[in-house]
Amino acid sequence: MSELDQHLQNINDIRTMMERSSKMLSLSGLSGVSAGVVAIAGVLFAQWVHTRVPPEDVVMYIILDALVVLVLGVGMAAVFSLRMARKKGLPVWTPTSRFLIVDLAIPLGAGGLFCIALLQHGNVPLIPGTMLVFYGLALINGSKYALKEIRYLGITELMLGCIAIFLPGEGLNIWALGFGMMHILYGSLMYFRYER
Amino acid sequence: MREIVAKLNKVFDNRIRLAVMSALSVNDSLDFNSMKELLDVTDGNLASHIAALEDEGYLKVTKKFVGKKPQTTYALTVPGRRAFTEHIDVLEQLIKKSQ
Repeated sequence: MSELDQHLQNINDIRTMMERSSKMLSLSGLSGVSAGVVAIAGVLFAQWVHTRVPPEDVVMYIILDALVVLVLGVGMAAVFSLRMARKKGLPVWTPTSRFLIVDLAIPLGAGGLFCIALLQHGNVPLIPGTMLVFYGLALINGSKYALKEIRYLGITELMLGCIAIFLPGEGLNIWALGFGMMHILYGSLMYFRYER
Repeated sequence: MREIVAKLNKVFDNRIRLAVMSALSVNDSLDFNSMKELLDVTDGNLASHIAALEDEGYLKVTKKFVGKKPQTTYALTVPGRRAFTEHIDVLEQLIKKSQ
């Protein structure tokens, strides 16, 4: 190796270590895709519920549906990211991933409470847009510990949420677009960009 | 060219030390175990290189207890950050000159 190659290698090592120690690189694009698929399945189930279940039970079914979507979506996202970490030999439980989780959890926790309040006050049509707004803010907040696509995804979700709160009748459709299509779109983008 | 090479910091003439400085330059502080996982090196190896950087006054060491376990965290000192930045500047100069 020539001296120049040596210096270039050093600079490259420095850059890699800076990125590896400050960003959670094991967040897999497939996590996004699987979360998106789960979200769309959840919306389809919700629409089916509207036609099949007595009206007084609809809200309960939708809440159950939402909880299942949440658990399945987060669970599958975690599985794909763990798999990617193992494949690339990256550590998972680092200070960076802990900061990322805390930074995501703060806006999400507040958003969750806000949605429960909306439900209590009977403002159900506003809930999908509100979820998108807080989810977008959470992603933007956590994006400093993740790849740059997460920030753009956050901005997209936030914008969709802002539209949805003014078009309450379209809430569920915009929700499917945000949590479903956008996760699949950005997830595939990240998969083909970084994992192939 | 040779006078530029002479400006390279000898302390950083090692991949592990360079990696420790890189990781700490973008984190407020890191504990020993996180650093070990990040760099994928053995305890003894990491400890000796950290000691060398500490002797130069480049690292600030904080020992505290988390529950009953002692935890040692490391952060860059002001001279440490300056030395690291200067080292990168010299590397860049060398690469520019030889292109």
